[in-house]
Amino acid sequence: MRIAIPVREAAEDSGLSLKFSRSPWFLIIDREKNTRETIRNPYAEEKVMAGSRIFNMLINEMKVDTFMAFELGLKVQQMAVKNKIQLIITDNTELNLKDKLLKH
Amino acid sequence: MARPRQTSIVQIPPRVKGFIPFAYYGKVREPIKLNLEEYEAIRLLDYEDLSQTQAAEFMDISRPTLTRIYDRARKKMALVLTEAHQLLIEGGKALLEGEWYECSKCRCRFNNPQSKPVAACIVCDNPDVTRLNSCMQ
Ligand SMILES: [Zn+2]
Repeated sequence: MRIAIPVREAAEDSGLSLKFSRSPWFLIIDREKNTRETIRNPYAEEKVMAGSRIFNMLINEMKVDTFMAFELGLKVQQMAVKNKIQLIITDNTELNLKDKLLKH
Repeated sequence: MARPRQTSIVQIPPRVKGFIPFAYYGKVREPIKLNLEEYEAIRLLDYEDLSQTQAAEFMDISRPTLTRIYDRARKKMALVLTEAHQLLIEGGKALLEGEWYECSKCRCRFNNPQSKPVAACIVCDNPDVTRLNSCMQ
């Protein structure tokens, strides 16, 4: 499972961004390899098509199969369902993601 | 899965089961029930800013049906706001898109896109997960 999580900062303990497509950063967690990395979202300021662009980048380049978010936005949600992406919705925007998602 | 006529589709389960008025000191009033399709109509039209035609397509219902659902939803919201009712989001004729589950421990909600058997929470491994589709009807 490779999970993309929109985060507010590149810092280790950053909380979730409330919006998926416009999130400045994404935390990518690989549960099999037990690794994490933070990548910048180049489409965060994009006026149009931010949803489909970040979706394609996460799926095709970052090989993500799971999205964890507070709110996905209609476009991303629609594409995710169509592409059978695992969705996880959380209310806990300050959640310590690393502890929950990486193996102990 | 075959579904009855006029049943609408809801994309993602609502975040909460309801709302309670804040700083209201009167007698507790009868809760207003906003059903799932009314919730989805407000979400698509007022939060996602879709047109009525787009929202009707999303919910897989006719546009006149959506208009009726939305009008009902706004009336209910007006009652909640002005008369300080509690609001419950439940019931209705809507179906959730795909299978959704909620974990009793980390409270994450997750779908099941591959339709595999779900034995535990995919985030924290807690076996106590509830299928949301059935408890929202
Ligand atoms: Zn859990």
